[in-house]
Amino acid sequence: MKFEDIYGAKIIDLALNIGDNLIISDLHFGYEEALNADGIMVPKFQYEKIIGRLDDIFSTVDPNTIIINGDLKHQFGKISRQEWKEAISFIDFLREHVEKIILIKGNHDNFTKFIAKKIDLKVYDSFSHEKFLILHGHKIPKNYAEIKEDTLIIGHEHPCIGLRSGERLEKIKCFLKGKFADKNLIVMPSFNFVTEGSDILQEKPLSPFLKNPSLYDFEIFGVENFEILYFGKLKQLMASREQFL
Amino acid sequence: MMDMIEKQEKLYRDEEIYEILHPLVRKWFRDKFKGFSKSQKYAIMDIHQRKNVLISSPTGSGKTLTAFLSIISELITLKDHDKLEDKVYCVYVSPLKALDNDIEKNLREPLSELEEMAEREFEIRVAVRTGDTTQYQRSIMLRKPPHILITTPESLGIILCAPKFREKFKDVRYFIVDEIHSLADNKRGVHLSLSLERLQNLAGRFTRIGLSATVHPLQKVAEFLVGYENGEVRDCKIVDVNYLKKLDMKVLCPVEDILGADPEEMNTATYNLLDKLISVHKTTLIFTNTRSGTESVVFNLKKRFKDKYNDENIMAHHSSLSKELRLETENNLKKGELKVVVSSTSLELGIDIGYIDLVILVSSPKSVSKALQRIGRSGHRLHEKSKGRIIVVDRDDLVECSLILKNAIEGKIDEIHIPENCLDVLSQHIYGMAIEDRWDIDTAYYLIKRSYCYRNLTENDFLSVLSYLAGEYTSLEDRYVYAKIWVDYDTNMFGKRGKLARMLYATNIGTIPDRTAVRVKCAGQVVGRIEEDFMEKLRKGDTFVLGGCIYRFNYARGMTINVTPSSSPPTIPSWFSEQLPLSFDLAIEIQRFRALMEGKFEYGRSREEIIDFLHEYLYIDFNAANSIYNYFREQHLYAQIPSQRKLLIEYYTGYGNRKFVIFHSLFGRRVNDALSRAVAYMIAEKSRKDVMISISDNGFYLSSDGKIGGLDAFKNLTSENIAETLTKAIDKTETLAGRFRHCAGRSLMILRRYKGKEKSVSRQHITSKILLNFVKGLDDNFSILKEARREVIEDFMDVKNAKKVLELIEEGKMDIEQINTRIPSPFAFNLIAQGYLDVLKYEERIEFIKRMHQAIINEIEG
Repeated sequence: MKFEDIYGAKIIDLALNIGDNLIISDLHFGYEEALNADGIMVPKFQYEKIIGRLDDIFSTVDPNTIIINGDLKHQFGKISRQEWKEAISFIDFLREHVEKIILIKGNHDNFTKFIAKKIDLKVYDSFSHEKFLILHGHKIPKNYAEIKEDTLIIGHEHPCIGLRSGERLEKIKCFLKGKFADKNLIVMPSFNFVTEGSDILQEKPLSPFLKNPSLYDFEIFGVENFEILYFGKLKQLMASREQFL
Repeated sequence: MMDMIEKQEKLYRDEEIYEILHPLVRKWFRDKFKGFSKSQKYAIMDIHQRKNVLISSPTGSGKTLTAFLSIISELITLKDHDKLEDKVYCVYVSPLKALDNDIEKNLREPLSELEEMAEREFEIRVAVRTGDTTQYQRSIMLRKPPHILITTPESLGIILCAPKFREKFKDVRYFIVDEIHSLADNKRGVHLSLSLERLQNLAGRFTRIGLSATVHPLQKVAEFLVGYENGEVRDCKIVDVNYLKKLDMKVLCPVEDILGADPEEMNTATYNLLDKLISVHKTTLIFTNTRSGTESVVFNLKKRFKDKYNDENIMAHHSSLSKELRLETENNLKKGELKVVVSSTSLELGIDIGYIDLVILVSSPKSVSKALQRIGRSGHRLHEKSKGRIIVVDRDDLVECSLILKNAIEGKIDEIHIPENCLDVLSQHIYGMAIEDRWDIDTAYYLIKRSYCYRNLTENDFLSVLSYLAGEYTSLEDRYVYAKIWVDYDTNMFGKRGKLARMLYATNIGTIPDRTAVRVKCAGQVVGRIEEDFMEKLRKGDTFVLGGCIYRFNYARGMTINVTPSSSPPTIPSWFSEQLPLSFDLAIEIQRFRALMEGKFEYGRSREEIIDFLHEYLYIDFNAANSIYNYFREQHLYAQIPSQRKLLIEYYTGYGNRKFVIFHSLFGRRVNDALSRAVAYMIAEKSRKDVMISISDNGFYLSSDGKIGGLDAFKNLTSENIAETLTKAIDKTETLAGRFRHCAGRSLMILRRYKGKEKSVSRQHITSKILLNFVKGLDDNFSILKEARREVIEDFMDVKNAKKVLELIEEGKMDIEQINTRIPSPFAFNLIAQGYLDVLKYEERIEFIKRMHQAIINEIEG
């Protein structure tokens, strides 16, 4: 059995492919500079990794449109030097591969519109494609009741799961498949390489879309370097936690 | 070639010493003391003649006065000739602020008595400058500099970069390092050794005076004190006044037969014994090895003897307690109000705690020097005996403590380990030097090589630090953010960068890492603290031991974790970072003793004969001798007795057919850590499986779910390849990442305080995870990574002595014997009981994930 599909959206490594669109989420450019400002002088190492991974993805699909599902940049209250530089060269890089770029606003994106303006892009709150509505997921939109699409795709959560055997613990990024009220819900992993994300087996979820009791019925699709590993439902994993988690 | 460091053999006569002192000082001393103490007779003349001296003598033997007497005399003479200028003549450094304050008091007293006698004021200023000194006090010091400055290594580092204040140091004549033994064995001492050279560069030659407790070898510590010049050690006299004055020391076994006693019986007997000892003494100081042990002794004494011990007469003293609480304990001690004080290590050093007539050590202090130092806190008067009792807690502890007793009585003291070539501390100093001035690269290199700790520093390592500080690990265009200095290789010069350099330096230097303790709460009560690294390991439902109780981990909220009591066995191995490792020299002594015992059994000596031998050889009582006899006899009958002539390897199959290979390598935990990981790495490489490791002071075991082939792997390990193998084995481990974080802090790559902000705890927490990802991509020559590796294998582990062990085998001095057992042999018992400690991960991440995935799927579908 292959698990490449969630509600008709195809998993390609850390990205999702629907029709002619490729979706990635939570890049957080400028993370290192934010660390620098806190006195942690690690050099920049993310940008190259992100580009490298996208290059790999573009070698397997050839989309027309790329959708960035929120949190292109990291800093809340300003645009740092690194963010300007990396975001712009990132968009330049994307333009070599796709016709169209859609930016969706995340909670870290208060100032992204200024970058977008400079490179002739708009920032949207959400983007609709057929039955899918793509939105960052840090809040439930005010017009939620008017949403017609039956499947929501969100980011924001940076989901991963930690697997343990003895002393060894490895975290693996994952997609989540579940329900929000009467709609289908897909949660995407982050497309950055600073950390794997937050362990859904250990930590409380952030997104209001995940604060519902049906979380235990969510299915988990781990992704490690283009391989997709289906872990079943969260409740099944929790049941065997003594052994593996 | 003459030995530049020599023992001072000449005892000067009182008259000769009086001769050189200022008449007032002479009179004052005559009125106050009967005569000069031995260390004073040896050392005062040398100090007067401006020779470097290292003085090793017991606490309470007038060491401070030895150091200061001729200095005070000289300052008064200067005053008489109206030549006492507004500058610093003498710097005194100690490891503790509390000690600094004591010394200030101890100096002011004689000075004011002298003034009273002379009926005039000398205006000799003494001042303490530490992290607690206010801006205002510092500005006074600048205007009226103290003639004698009392400080700590960290504050000295800052002073050297203070543009105006450092000017006052241009004529420093004396430099005193107190408790030098407790600085030399860690990075604070390394830091100090470079400060000394930088100061000498500023002030020219000054007299260095080191004050030390029992330490071995004194030659090495003397070299550390005086440093090198043109590749040769500077002159130094060693004054060694026999520490082993009158030592009244005994090992006590709380029960008759320690093998047969159950834990409850043992506990009750131990507390009854403690109570008995405390009751017949005026004030007792108890040392436990850990903070949690300290808490538990206080708690149990109060609980078990409600009418005797209460908040009024028993107190704890350890580094996790607040400064105020510790001060209160110290003051109550000085006032003689306490019956008992319990400490982990914090009362080891010479701060004034008044009169103690008994020191009790609960469990082995792990080295002879520590035992002597702790017991030396009692009978704090020159001609009085030091009285110490070591209470043992289990059979291995009994053997260990008995050998400590033997070696203490016979004066065999373990060798001190002084870290060398620490590149993180070097980063701090080079940055400091750059702030001071622009430097010629070679001149700076030669200055650094004058420190004992850097005498063998390679030019490559030195240049790698310059490269790091110049931000060369980042792209050219980003460098302005990262570079702390500029380096111009054409002109061969370097200097500071940025306007904030001095501020950044002053607020971030030091060598003690920020360890944030996580509070552990159970039903709303704080039951203890764990280290942050430990918290990161915990997952929901894990059980672990804290302060003798088992708790189940529920969740973490910031820097607090919530737990509930549990009775199931701990799933997370007990945490060792707090425990002291057994010294290598003592370990060898225990092994030698084991060989003797094996001989006795081999030759069929009777019980009486062996017990007589134990009495005589180990100076122990009947209970102790009896227990040791039984313990060794069981091991002899069941298996074999391992020793320094025979490394015993025991194969044992545990629950679920799990294979264990037990190495009876009693060489201390630091050596075993190195050996076990190197062997595990070799096994893992061959079997392509993870290998579980457990270590203790007495040995280690490796375990895996299949055949291990421990001996084959061990045979492939040689004194030649161990360092390299070990470096590979620790790669990508959390231990390395944790040390990297500390080294990055010391190298100022992670700044505690930056742009006026104190780094938040949560920010630090994130850092360690991010750093781990970052470290993986680092160049092998990056100086901080290199230092983190060095620190792990040389300071945290002991690769040097592990090498020695392998040499013993290579030279045929130690044979290897193998046995199979169905249940672990008695000597292996404690090791097996503690559970595993770590896993050497060989499996690739992806292999591991896939294997786990398959197992989970099988379980779910099963």
